[in-house]
Amino acid sequence: MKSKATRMLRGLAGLALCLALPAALARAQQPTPSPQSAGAQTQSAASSQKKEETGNYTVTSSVEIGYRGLSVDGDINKYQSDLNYKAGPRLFDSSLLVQAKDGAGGPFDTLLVTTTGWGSDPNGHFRISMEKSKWYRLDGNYRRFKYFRFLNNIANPFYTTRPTDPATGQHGYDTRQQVGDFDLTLLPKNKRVRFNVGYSPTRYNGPVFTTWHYGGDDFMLLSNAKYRSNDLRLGADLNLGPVDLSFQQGFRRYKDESFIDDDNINLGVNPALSNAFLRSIERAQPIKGRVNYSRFSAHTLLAKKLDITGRIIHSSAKSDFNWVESVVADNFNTRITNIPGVINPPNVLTLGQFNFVGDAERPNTLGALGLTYRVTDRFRLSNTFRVETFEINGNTFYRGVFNLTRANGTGAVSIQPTGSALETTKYRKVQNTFEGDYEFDERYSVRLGYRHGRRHIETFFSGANLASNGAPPLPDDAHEEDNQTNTVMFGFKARPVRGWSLSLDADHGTSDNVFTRTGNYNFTNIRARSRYSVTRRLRFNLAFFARENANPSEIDVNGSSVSLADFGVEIKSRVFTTSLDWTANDRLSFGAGYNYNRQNSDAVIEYAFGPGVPNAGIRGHSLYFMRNHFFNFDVVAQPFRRVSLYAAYRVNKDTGQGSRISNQAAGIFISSYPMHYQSPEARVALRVNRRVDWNLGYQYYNYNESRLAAFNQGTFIVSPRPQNYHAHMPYTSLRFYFGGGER
Amino acid sequence: MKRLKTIKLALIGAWVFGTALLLCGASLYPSTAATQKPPPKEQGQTAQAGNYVGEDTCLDCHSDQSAHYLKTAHAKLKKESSWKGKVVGCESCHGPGGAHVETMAEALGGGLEPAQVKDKKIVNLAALSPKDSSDTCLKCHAGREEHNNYMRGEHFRNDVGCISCHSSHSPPPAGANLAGSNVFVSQANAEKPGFAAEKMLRASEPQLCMQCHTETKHQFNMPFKHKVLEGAMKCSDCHNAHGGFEQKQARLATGADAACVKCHTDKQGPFTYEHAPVKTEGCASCHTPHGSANPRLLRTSSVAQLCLECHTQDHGVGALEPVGPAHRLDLQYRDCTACHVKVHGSHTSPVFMR
Repeated sequence: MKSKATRMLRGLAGLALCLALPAALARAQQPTPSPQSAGAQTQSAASSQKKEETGNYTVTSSVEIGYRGLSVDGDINKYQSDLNYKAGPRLFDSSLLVQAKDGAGGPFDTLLVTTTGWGSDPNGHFRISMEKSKWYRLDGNYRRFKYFRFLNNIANPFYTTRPTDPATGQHGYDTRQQVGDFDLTLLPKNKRVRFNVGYSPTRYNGPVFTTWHYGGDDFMLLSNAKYRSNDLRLGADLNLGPVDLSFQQGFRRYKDESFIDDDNINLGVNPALSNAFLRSIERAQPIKGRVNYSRFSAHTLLAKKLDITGRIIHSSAKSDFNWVESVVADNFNTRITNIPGVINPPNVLTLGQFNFVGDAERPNTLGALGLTYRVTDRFRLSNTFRVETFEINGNTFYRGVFNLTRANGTGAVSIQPTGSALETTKYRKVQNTFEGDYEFDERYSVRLGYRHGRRHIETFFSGANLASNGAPPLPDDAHEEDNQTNTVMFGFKARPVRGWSLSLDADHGTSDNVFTRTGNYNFTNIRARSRYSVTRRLRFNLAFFARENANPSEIDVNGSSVSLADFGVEIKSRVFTTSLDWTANDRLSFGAGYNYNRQNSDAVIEYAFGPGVPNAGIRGHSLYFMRNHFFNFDVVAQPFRRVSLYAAYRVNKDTGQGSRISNQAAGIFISSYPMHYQSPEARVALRVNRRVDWNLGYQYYNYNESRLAAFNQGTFIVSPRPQNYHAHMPYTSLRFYFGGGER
Repeated sequence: MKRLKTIKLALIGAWVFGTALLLCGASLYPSTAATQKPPPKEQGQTAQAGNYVGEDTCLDCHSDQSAHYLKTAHAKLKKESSWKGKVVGCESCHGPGGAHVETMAEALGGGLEPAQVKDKKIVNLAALSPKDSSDTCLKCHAGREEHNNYMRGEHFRNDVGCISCHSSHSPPPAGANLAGSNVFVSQANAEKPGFAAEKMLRASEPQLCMQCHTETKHQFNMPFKHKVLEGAMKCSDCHNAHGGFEQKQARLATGADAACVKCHTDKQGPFTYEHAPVKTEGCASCHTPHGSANPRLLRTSSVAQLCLECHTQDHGVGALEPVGPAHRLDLQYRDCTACHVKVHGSHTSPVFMR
């Protein structure tokens, strides 16, 4: 890596020289400018802002292209997982803005195209916005993401069996995703009617490692992920007197064509030949999905007093699948796989074939109604009602063929299990919020509100356990739960002096039940903000947020209740943030900020740990801590007319759990992610001439999680070793201005 | 189920009835846009109190605003036939300017400078409370679904008005051509000032949002994050700044689904076996969407601990307690997703094994 990087850096230096030379020559050929007053300089800068005129249009455009070098020390996998910037030529950024001189042009009044990050960047986007205001407006974007994950700190079971080979996180991937959104509005400025057409494609593909727990071992499999979706939308906005109506009909089609085709011997995570291992596996899992949805909304303002808004959305989602899987393997654990015990390992699975066919449906309806009544000029009452229902019905039919022999090929056994299963989830949520807002004057106001919510959920399962070869029937399983949540809200706003606004928001609620233990049960949230624009050039922000949620989580163990206090979840977070932005003048601006984020989470859990103890039911505490300090500053300066500078520094430092250490035997599980992540950056831009800027920059990333290793006590390991890295990224580029540029 | 159908029927019925009622009563109420006489065409005409003078009169004096204003959508409305008969231009927001013209003419004739005159006969939106100034904008903009619920949204509640983020006649941000980060979106390589100007934003995203929401900065600087600072995503991709019926003003995807599945399409389902919290509680019950030090943006760094916070005892709906030797935390299976790979939903396994 280093030698390659060194070559790159040398090349970069050469390129920089090549770029610098013409810049210096260009500079040398110009007469020495006469000293100018600040005002004259500003005037000169202003004159260069004149855009070029092309026919009836003015054009403002620039393109920045260059080369990035890269040198990474440390964990290259973690670097790629976090950043994934590569060395090489790159289109840093480009923009094209074309505007009609008198506001109205031929095919368009305004056209804007921007791009960023194409070339060696992991993220790139292209955006277009085009409008002829009387007839149409087109907004589009296309984005490409290069995903890379290969980490040793998640899904890393290899470590306990292969401590000498810890860099083998199981669920790695190296994929690409493309996402687009294109929306065309016809008659965009028409008061009475507008039509909308939209299209959003999504593409995702690439190699993905997955795992399969099968036959008595756990296998890492290379899957070829490939799925795509296309979303088409048609709609219209209509104004009928005092009523504004909107309607949209959407169609989404989704297809998953991921597959696995592996003929190599796979020993699994327990790599002993006496354990189960795969000789080959083929898996085709085509899924087709569709969502048809309709959205209708209406709005009116009656007598300038009563604002009414309503919306109904109904979507109908359905997916069909046909899963076929063929496996050849050895030494299958018959206890786990439900294959008759007469063929205990060692054995040979000459053919294991799964075929799942089924579908799933999810109708979903969402209705909402909002009312605001302006009682007086200073007093408003609002009510928001929302109801959501959905139902998920899934059916799967299963047919399998399993042919086994003893290790020597004798004693052939064949089973052909069949089964089916259905699962249903029904959900309904009704929520109403009533609020009153009173303005004492233009500077002070207060708000009070009350929210009531009810939820109901039912689940039902019937059929066989299709996760197993034998597909043993399971007893029907039905659950039904209700909860109600009542919340009171309070808010206070003030603008003590011009430019200074203060806001305080708080809500406190209680619930009689939750669907997940970490859900809101007894919660209090407070948000306080101060925004002070001392002048138009100086702004100071301060904010504090506190969140608390305690859930005693009522349970019943063997017919006797357990103390609520002893079986709960408690989550607390505190956030303090402040920032300062100062624009001294058109040539100097400065910004800085500090953020402190503190989180504590304590959940009573039941678990199993250590040999010779029960396989479940030991009670302990799951604790999570975050103590993150974030500091940032950036400065932009133009010390000379031809030179501008940018410097920035950003650092996250999380001290995590501090000196706390997990003690599994005592039932104390502590996790956090103490790390230190800093990224200074500097850039110089030199104006070569009216049409060219030369840029030289350097970025540095320093990631350090070495403290994490200190907390990996016993065998409860979050990460087997630190994944530290340092990345140096020098770059140089030329920005070309066309049509007068953006100066 | 019967109750559910009743609610649905009642809701739909109420809508049909309400819409019909409103349509029938359309003539009873004034239009949401101000319907006034067209402005006098001749400049210099003596204006009566409450008279409209037309934007040309305004721009004669307010030339510093005119250059930018004339390129905005507001300025183009006067050419739209559907807006004929309605007040457009400066006076649609600032009110009739006749009295203001008279006052200023007298003051200037008396030798005063414009900055010395405090005329309260013209509406100055900046001097109004955010709610009052927003009411002015909503007279026209409330009709679009994007803005329909603004009056019940978080920004309105917290006195963040339309003109806190939008400006119809301020120039684009200064210093746009100064050097900036070439990785993170900054003024140099953010969406161009012209783009922001089209939406009349005071600055481009995400800088505009982060001027107040500074608490999100550290999240977008974490090792794992959505690529907002890099410019590949915008805050408004997931949130509707103008309010909405969803928590956190989140947008919806494909009808009634969470905004997340718009890109993460493989999590949308429906699956034969759904992990119920994905739909009932939302993605944020396990993930911190802006950014995190934890892989996969998980709320905790240990997968097992995250899962066990719900899957302890038989808690409510299907959150079964893991039992058996394969679930011992000291063994290689302690990372739940090593086996339960399809945690969002599966078509073949009720316990999400594949």
